[in-house]
Formats: sequence, C-alpha cells, structure tokens
Amino acid sequence: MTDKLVDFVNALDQDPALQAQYKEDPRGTAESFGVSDEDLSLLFGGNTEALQQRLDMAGLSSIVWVQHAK
Amino acid sequence: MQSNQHGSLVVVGTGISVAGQMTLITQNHVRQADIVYVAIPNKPGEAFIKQLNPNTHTLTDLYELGKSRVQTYQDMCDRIINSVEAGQKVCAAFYGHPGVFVNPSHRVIEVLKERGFSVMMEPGISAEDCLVADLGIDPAAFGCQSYEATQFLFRRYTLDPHMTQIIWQIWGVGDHTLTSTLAHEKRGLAALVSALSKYYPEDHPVIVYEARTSPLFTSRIDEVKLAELTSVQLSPISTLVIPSLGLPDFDHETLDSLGITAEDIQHHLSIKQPVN
Repeated sequence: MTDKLVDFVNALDQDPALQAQYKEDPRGTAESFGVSDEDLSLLFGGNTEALQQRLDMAGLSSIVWVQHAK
Repeated sequence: MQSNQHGSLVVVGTGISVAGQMTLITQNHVRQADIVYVAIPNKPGEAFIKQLNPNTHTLTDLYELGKSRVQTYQDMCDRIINSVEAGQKVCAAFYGHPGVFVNPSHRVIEVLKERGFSVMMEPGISAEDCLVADLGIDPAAFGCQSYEATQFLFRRYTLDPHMTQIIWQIWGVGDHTLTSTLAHEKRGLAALVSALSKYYPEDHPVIVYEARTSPLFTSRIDEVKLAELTSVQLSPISTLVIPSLGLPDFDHETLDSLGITAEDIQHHLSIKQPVN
C-alpha cells in the first residue's frame, strides 16, 4: 500500500507547477492530491512534535551527515 | 581509465532534496547498474531509486547511535568493495554531491582504483549549491572560504574577512569524538564565536542556513548578530554564513606592473549592460 503523503512529497519535489500551486495554497494542493485528512491535520495543525513523528515514520526525516574534522 | 578487472564502480549524488535534484546521468547510472547501494536520509528518495533499479540496497543500516563514523564509513566501503571485487557493475548513491562532505565515496574510489578497477564519480547538487541559490550569494563576488567548523576551530587557519565565509556543521563544533555525543554542548560554539570576533565586530550580521530537505518546507535563513549566535537553536544541518566586510583595497604594486590604475578598473566595472 502506498503512502499518499510520501507520494505527494515525491511529486512535489519534481513538479514545478505543483510547487507553485503548493506555494499559493498548501493545504488545498495537498488535499487535491489525495493526502488524508489525518495527515492534513498534522501538516497544517501546528503540532510540530506530532508532525515530526509522522515524518520520521514515513522516512522523511534526516540522518546526521557529518565528516569528521582532521 | 583502462581497467584490468571486471567489476566497476560509479559514485553518484542524489541532491539535497528528496528526488528532484537527481541528474539524468545519475538516474541512468542507477538504471544500468547490476547493484545499487544508497546512503541517503529519506525513504521517498530511496523508493525512487528502487523504481529505477529494484536491486537497490541501503547503507544507512550501518549507522548506529554512539558508533564512530570512522567505523561506519569503513563498513560502507567494505560492502561496496566486496561487490565490485565480485565482478559487479556497482552504483553507489550518496546524499547531496557524492564528493562533498562524504568520506566513503572518496575512499572506495581510491582503494578500487589502486586495485585496477574502473571507477568514476558523477557530480551532484550539494548543500553549497542550494545555499548559493537560496541566499543569492555569488561565491565569486568577494571570494569565498569554506571550512568544517570543528576543523576550523582546532587548526590555525587564517580567515580573510573580505571573503564570504561558509562554516559547516556548527551544531557539533568542538566535538572531537566523531560521534556527535557532545553536540548539545555550547562550549565549542562559544569558542567559535570568540575566534570569529577577532575578525568581525560583535554586531556583524551572520546567517544560520539550512537547505530544505523536503519540498514541504522552506530553507532556513536566519540572520542574527555574531554575538547572538550562541543563543540560537541549531540543528545538525545548520551552516554559518558570514557576509564579507567588503572588497579589499587594490594592490597598486601589481596594477602598476600591468600599466593600469584603479580608475581604469572602476570605469570598466561601471559600464552597464543593456537589459533586453
């Protein structure tokens, strides 16, 4: 089963028209794409901790990439 | 380079964002490989690569909290080298530009080249490329110096405040353990501010920059005064950008030897190109 939020992020990352639409109307664009009501609430609800957890679960968080000092 | 072994390696970069910054040649290297190793920090990017080549395997499982990155990088190299030595056409994909702030990419190329295998690196979009675009900074305008923060702090570098300064990894500055376990401490950051205060006034504006890693968000661009830096919330991807104090004076001795004056140069710089 695909994760619609992940699909949306992937599409958004590669489509300038979708990016322009998202900039104009973030919630409406995500909604039209099919992102679930639950994820819409996380994305736009202001609960950063819950959003971070969701992004972590979807594999959208960042690993620490560091090169050591010499 | 002519190789005398069957296996081969191409190292590619996937860009800073999810998948949209992968070049066409990178995508084709992924498609044409026998096996792909990926070390990128997001699942959608990894999923995109898997669509291009189902025989894709992650290297990020080698990261462990508290494990020295030196060991992690060695383990990554071993995995890639074993596949190449088994005769496979290997593609290793790293986050950003594969040659910038990536240790194992250079190491595997060095080792495999010595052993006679065909190896190459394709460039990718790095955090520095994103920084130039987001901040509108041309590195050529004032010249540019770029350092890893801890290395800058530990060594006797000479900074030229006329140049734009880019100081990477300020979050863990001063952490000599290579594990980021001391990154929460601010002692290193205070020492960095102290070192920079030799070159800049305390109210000199500096920028904390973080390239966006997802199209859902925007890049972080926070301007603060140098003296305020220790009270700013940082993350592992925070970079410090210090704008130039301005161009240095002309070197009249050199200009004289070339038979030109500062005014000649200013005259040519002031000629405006018409905008169509």
